[in-house]
Amino acid sequence: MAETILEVTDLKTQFYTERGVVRAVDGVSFDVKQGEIVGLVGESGAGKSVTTSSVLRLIEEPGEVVGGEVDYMGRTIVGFEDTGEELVPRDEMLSETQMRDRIRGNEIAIIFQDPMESLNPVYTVGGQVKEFIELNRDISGKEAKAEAIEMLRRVGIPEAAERYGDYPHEFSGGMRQRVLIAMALGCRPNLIIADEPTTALDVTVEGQILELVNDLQEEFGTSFIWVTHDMGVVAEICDRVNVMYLGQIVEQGPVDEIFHDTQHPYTKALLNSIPRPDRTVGDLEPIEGTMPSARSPPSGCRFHPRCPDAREPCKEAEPVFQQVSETSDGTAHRASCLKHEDVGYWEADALEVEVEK
Amino acid sequence: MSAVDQLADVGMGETLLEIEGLTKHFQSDTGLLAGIFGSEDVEAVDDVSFEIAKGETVALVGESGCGKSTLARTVLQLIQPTDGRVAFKGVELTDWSQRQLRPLRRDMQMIFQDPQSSLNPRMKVGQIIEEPMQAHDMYTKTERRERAKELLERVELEREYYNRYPHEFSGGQRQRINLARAMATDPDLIVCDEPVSALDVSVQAQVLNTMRDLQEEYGFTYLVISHDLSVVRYIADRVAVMYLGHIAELAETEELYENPQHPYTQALLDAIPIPDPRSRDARGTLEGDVPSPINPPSGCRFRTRCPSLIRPEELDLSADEWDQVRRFTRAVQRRTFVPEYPDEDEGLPVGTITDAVDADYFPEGRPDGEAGEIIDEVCRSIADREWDDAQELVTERFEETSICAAERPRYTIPATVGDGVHDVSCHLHRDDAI
Repeated sequence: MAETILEVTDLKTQFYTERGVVRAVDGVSFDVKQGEIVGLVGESGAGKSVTTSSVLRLIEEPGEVVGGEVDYMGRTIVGFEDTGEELVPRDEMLSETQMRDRIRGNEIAIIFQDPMESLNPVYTVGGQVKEFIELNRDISGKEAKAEAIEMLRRVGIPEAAERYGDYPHEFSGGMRQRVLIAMALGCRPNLIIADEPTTALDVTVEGQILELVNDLQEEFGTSFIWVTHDMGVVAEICDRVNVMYLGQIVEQGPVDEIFHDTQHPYTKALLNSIPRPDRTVGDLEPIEGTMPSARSPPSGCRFHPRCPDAREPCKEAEPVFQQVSETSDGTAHRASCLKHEDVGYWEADALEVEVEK
Repeated sequence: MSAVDQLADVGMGETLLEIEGLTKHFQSDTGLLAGIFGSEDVEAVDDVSFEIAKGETVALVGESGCGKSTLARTVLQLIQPTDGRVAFKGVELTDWSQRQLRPLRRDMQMIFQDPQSSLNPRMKVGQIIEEPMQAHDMYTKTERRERAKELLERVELEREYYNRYPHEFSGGQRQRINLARAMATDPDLIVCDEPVSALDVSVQAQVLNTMRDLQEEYGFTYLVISHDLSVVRYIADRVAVMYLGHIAELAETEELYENPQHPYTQALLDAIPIPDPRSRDARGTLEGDVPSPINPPSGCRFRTRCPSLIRPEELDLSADEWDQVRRFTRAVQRRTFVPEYPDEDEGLPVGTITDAVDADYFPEGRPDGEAGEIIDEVCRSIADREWDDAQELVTERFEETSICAAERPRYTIPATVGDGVHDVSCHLHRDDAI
């Protein structure tokens, strides 16, 4: 089996606000293997983007990574030790300079949703790609320019050499997103974090980008963490999926299992609530209510107030995120639901779904 | 006689809204210089016709820039059309001034995409819902208050929310408040511009279901504008697919999704990622970008990207040969076929190019006759690095001589699903039109 390149264990990130502590990421564990596309899926406010920013240590005031481990190929991006009184960063944790010089860009690159905000409007597109390559690889000048043009061509920019000197506003949205992918790829990273990169794009353009990612991944063997709220995109490109709800991963497994052997009621409810493009659906079953605030998450299972399967114990007992089945190739399928635990779920009475309309 | 007096009673299933030849061109440039030198028109909506029956949900779908929002706003006369007519309950809207139309607006309401910015943050929910009733001088103050509370209940909110402010609500709840406001004047038509696209998926379903229930109860007619083909399949009775200001295809929902006839609709449906990893089949991606609505392509506006461009009659080619020529044409137009030139300014021998072209596009040999001669000339231009010439040549000879460029297609064919009809703007159907 492919080597694990990124391992995130019990990651916790909090934001300190006037109205209290927001536990945006609350004990998240997942890993990424070489050449894999791993999905991070959930609704807005689930903590997807905070998770990926924490992995790259891009969390700024008033937020802070307060616990857990992030290990990237033997290097400690996040690591703490207990001094008896408090958790302090361990010595081997990479310094800010090391993160900048050795990790961000050249090992792990990130692509954001809005390409206009990630490109500088007053520099040429080609110049920006070239600068990125120069900063992250040992090439410069003419060679870097040639590489930049080659990358632009690879991601499907027509007339790449002619358009090298164009400015970002002269490109369409889809083209700009391709430029960002070219930038990320140009640095030859091992892992690309893509944060909703196709959400703002039209469906035919999204199709072009997804196709491109598949091709490039095959060619370069790059791994991806794909952050999205779109179950269609997940089904289309991901190998393994992590479903997030209110700062936690509630289900994790191979993509086929997530869709066809769903183990968590939230994942199931999410799948039942989406309209289908490929078939006529009589009635959608929406999830009642809205996601509560991460400032004061519900007791017990965080999904219990909206869960159609909730029973008495769900109010109190916090479910353990654990393996519920194993696929033939040994990949774990994990979920956190009391149905899989021995806490008297099956004997208990059902709870009424109680939500504010 | 005022416009209101002419409103006819329309029964369920009868035509509520009739749109004919509706056109909206914008000036691409305004100001003094544009006034002197003239400016080019942006053809946002061009000669569009369709009808909506009372109680029906019609959806306009298309990608950004296709003109769907402009069309909806022009229908409501929020934007003055350049040409064409709109009749609502028998009243020709285009014949009356904005002022004269105002009393009619209680029968036509609109809800917008962004639930954040479409509610005044300084007004209480109650006031927001009462505002349209007040504007149209409907009911007494006490009645309005009671009705507002009732409407809150109807959209599955609580009566007690009457005194709260918009910021206290989530996106889905705000969109319900928008719905309540739109319903306040008991309209016939509600135009919904991307009603759920700002909402999370689980909340989308709640709002869509509420919209459906309300329609069943009150017989509303919805004109829904959306880019989301899954949402549209769920709520629409009929769907119009728009591309660059034209309606490419219009049919009943089931017919359109199960039996799409326009190459653009097919490409669009093909592109949606299906939420099932087991239906991950290879799909044909639509190449290129949507052309500019300034000087849009003649004839069929999709022809510049169409994978089924029709063979020009003057070219004597078999179907297979034409497929190859078309592929070659697209590659040259998009410059996806780029040979390795030795140095910055040097060209290549023609032989090198023709060998590469033969290998990639004409494995059984280049076609004879006129087409063959054109391809040879294109290869010579590519060898000399005269790309513009090569592009111009393929476009002029292989695309612009096609019927697709010569006339705008408009055909109606019998539907396969159900017994309705199916409008399809594609010349592939010129022989089976009714």
